[in-house]
Amino acid sequence: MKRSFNQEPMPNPKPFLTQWSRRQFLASSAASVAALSIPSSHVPAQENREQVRIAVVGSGGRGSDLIRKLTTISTARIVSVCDIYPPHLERGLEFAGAGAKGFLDYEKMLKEMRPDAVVIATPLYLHFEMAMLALASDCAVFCEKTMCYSIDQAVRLREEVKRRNAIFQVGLQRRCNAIYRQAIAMVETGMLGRITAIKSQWHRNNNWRRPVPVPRDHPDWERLEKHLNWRLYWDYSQGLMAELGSHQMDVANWALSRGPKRAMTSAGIDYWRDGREVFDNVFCVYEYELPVSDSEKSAADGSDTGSEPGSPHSDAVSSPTYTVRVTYSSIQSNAFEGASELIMGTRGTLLLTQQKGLFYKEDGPLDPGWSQDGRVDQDAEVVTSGKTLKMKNDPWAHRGKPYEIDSTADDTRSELVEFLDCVLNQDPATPCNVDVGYEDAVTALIANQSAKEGKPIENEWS
Amino acid sequence: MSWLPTDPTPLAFTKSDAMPDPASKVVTVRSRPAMACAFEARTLGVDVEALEAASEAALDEVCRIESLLSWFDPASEIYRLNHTPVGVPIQVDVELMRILEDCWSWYVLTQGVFDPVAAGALRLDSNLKEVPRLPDALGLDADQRQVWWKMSVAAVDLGGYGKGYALDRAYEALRVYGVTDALLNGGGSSFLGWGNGSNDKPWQVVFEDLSSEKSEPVESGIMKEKHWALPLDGQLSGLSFSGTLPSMPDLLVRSGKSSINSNNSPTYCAVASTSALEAEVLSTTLLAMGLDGARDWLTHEVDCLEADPLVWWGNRSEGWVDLFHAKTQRREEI
Repeated sequence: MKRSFNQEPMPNPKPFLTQWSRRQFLASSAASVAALSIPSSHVPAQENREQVRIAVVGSGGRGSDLIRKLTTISTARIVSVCDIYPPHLERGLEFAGAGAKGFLDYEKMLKEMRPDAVVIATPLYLHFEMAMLALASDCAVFCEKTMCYSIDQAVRLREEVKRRNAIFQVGLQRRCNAIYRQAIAMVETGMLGRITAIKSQWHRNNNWRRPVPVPRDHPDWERLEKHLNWRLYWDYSQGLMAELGSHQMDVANWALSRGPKRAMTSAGIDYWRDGREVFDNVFCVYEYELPVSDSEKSAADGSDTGSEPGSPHSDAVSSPTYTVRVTYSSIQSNAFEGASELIMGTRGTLLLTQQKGLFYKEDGPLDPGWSQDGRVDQDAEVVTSGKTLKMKNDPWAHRGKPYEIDSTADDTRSELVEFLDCVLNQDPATPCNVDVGYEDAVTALIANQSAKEGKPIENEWS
Repeated sequence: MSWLPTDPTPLAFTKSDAMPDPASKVVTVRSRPAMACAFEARTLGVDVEALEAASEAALDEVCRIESLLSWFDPASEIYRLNHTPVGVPIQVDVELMRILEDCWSWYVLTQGVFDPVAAGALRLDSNLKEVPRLPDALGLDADQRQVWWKMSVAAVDLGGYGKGYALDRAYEALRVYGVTDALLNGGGSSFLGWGNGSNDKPWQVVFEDLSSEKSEPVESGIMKEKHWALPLDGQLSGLSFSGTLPSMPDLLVRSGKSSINSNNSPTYCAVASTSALEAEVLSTTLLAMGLDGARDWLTHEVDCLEADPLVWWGNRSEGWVDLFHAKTQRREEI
């Protein structure tokens, strides 16, 4: 298995790519702007801020996104970009702007540029090795999720980050999304009551393939296929659980303040039988064990007559924990439900996406409108016999009208802003630190292990 | 306990293993909602898997542009810019800086007719008495990549520009992956095609006028250029460019309602160019200039254009009244 980034640069398929820059329109128009003399304007005075010198490794799709976001942050200065695939390197350098130096060799970049921070956006199998080297170079590290390819690597990386008290952040951007932060605050303050279940999914209807820029019979095709479509091969990837599931299982871990106790997964290659190795259809059930809170114990043993709907029975007193079940699915042949998380509590439900959050209060005891007001002189409630309920055809009518939580900014940019603030302040308390990244990696990886071994996997690593 | 087979079911088909038959060309279609409309990529070729993957990459590029330029998305750069207080510079990325510079050049070239700041301000408040203009409202420092507002009630709206830019970027993405025959459709009002369509003939797009006073579409046209981009502004009552109406066009476009010009007369303009962005900007600005103004402007500024766009001009009462090459002013028979 290929396990090192110290490999020959990938072939550059440019000879096969005609007219990459078809018309140079923007470039020529930029020149014309100068010729047309935009009236010079003085930039309004602003605070001079210190900048973090950043090296980015991996400038494919996600890496380019991160580069573009970084260039909008005044505390960031991208000094170098590294990628072994020339078209990606060129794209990364184009987005990074003037002043960034390109590298094909990661170690050479670290030695030569001595950056303050490294942003790692390479295929998963390279995260560990690159993060360890960056830490050894005294760099702060922003590592895209999933933190590591294997649990063993995650254990070692967490130890190293803690030993160095390094500034380390994993790219789980929901941690910096205003909607999710609001949602977790609502969970923590008890607005949802006891969380009993979480249901989440990322469903899409596409083959998850990146195009390969040479014909299939070209000698470089196979190498480029493995490089560009690394997500589809076990040597480089942990499939849907690592690329998509890790984001959403992190939300479950966050809401429940812990990782799962065990995972059970059923998965397979059910639709896209195109030579890929990773599953295209994954269904997981996780079990989380949570302690019964003091207030719930009081309610259960009768010392508190709280109004919690459906309070647990008195065996809660004898059982100090309860189980929350979390389901996660990721399929690639139907996009109906898209990507969302549903956090279900005894008092309410949160439906979360990166763009919108919705909070639905649970109904109290059903009030069919039979009672008459004003008969307080009798103990018995007065009801009108034979009154029929007004029924609706809307199958979702019971949900009621939700409270809405809106997005306010790009969460990827926000996570980078917060990371850079931590670097400038030498503060290791990043919003998504190595413990969060570790728990998230374990959560994603035991699901794959369960699917491969065909049995539930106990989480021995949390 | 095991509920899974130890080995995956043998693969029923493996598309990747064999080279497709070069003789069996097919048209693939992929689409995605973006920029408040449907973007579509049609490609012709033999390797369906590769064509679909390339189309998805092109549509990804469209969505990336949307996430950069969206008026509505709080995560977009334009949204961030539009919600920045007056006098506070923000740093924008390389691409947005280039786009804003390009808009500035279009503003200058069109003598202020193309103005995304005026468009944005009117979108915020259609009753504005004094509409802010780009140079007065927006400060740019290209070296520092910084942008700031000089006045309130100003915003950038890159709707049509964004669509053209997205089509051009999608084109580049498809060409990178070796797609030689494709038709990109941006919401039925902007098209960018090259190479051939079905039956190995040039892509054929027919425009139908549903709002004609006559009950049936009476005139239709076909675009049969090898490489063209055609944003449509206003109502199209017919494009007679290539003559015979094909029985099976690649795309049948049903036009929307016409724009109203300053004389309260429905008017329409279509531009075909080699760049969707240029065609998109021109179709909007020429319509605003009016036919005489457009011809006058083209006489003086046409050297700044990339190619020699074709301009159709029409109105509701007369149908198409003019068709000319922008640079040479050579008239085509309508």
